[in-house]
Amino acid sequence: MTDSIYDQLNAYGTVAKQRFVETFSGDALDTDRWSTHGSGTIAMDDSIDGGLKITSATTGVTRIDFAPSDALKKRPFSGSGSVMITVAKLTQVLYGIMTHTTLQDMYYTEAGDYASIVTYGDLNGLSSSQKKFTLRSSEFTNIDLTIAESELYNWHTYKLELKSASTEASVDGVLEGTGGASIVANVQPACETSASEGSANSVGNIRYMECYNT
Amino acid sequence: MAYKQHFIEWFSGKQLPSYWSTTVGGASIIMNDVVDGGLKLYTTSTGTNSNFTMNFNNKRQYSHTGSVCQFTINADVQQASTTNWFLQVGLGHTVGNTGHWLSAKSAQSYFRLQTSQSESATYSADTTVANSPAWVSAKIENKSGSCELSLNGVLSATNDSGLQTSTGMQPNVYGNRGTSGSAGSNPLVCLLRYMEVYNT
Repeated sequence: MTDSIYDQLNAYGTVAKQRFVETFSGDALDTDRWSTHGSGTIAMDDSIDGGLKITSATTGVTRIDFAPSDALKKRPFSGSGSVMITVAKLTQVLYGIMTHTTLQDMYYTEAGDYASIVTYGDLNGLSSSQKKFTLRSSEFTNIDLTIAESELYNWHTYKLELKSASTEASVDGVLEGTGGASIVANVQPACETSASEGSANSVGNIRYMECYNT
Repeated sequence: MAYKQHFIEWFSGKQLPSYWSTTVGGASIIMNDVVDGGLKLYTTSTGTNSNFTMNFNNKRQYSHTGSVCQFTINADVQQASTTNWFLQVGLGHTVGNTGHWLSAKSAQSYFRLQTSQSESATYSADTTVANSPAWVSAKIENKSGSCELSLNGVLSATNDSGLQTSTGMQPNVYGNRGTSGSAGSNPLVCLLRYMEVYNT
């Protein structure tokens, strides 16, 4: 077998499209690659298979992405032909939302175009039926995924695929939801936790991310 | 067999990682906010010999007689319009004069494989791939008695002269915008979206 990773990933003689792999290992997040936003904490987790831990404030969003400012957004992925894969876990049982798998065109403070796989935890005041996995997009109505509530706080492999006329969400290798239109703009990856109750933090861990154009 | 030195750069993120050492003189190096854009190195001045370099600050972990350097590149040296514009991308001991590179140079119709022991001992071999702005996958293989350049999966040039004799190589990118000629204010541009280097 060739020693070349390039030759293993790409058909012989082809020019590779944009791709990156993030393994969330080390003493701190790579802040050359990632911008951080929000008033929560973002730190490598001192636990086996822990990866990066993102802890939101009790209100608001804490996020990593490729946009240090609105003017300096870096969006090398296609809104109509790209894939994002993550291995992530909503860690905090109470009040937590983790938007772990997102491709978006906007800066932290902006509204914009996006597609996300989201895990909603045990929000204060929400009924059991509102604890769920959801495919969200700026382009179509939210689609709830058919995964058991008992799976909310476990590690999962998520795959978000943006195609020319559809958006697909897979969890642990199973296609769980298909949405409509793709995003017109070029996009960047993002991962975040958020809370709105004002009484507890939202905590999530992520240990792998890969994005590539198709 | 023990794993040998192996490095991958995805050129994805908000900025170039700080393990790269760079210099710019009338030039800029940025991540490109474009689909499949990767890293953009480009001149921002029309001043003679505006230039940029990118390397590992003389941390030479790769063998000049047994290593591979692969990258995807889009090079624009305004080939027909300029004087002494050049772009070298590959592995080398010393920026500009000792190493094995893909060469894109003004007045050259095709990309070349350039092997240089020194500025006075440089050999270049034409490929058949046009020296024009388009994405190309390149693979430089350093062997004990030769250096091979493959473009888009096809062996395109082989040099057995001018091979580096100094020990150790580092990744190297060097662009120089000579005089403008008819290029006007157009920049010299190098786009990279992948680089992999390993010892064999």
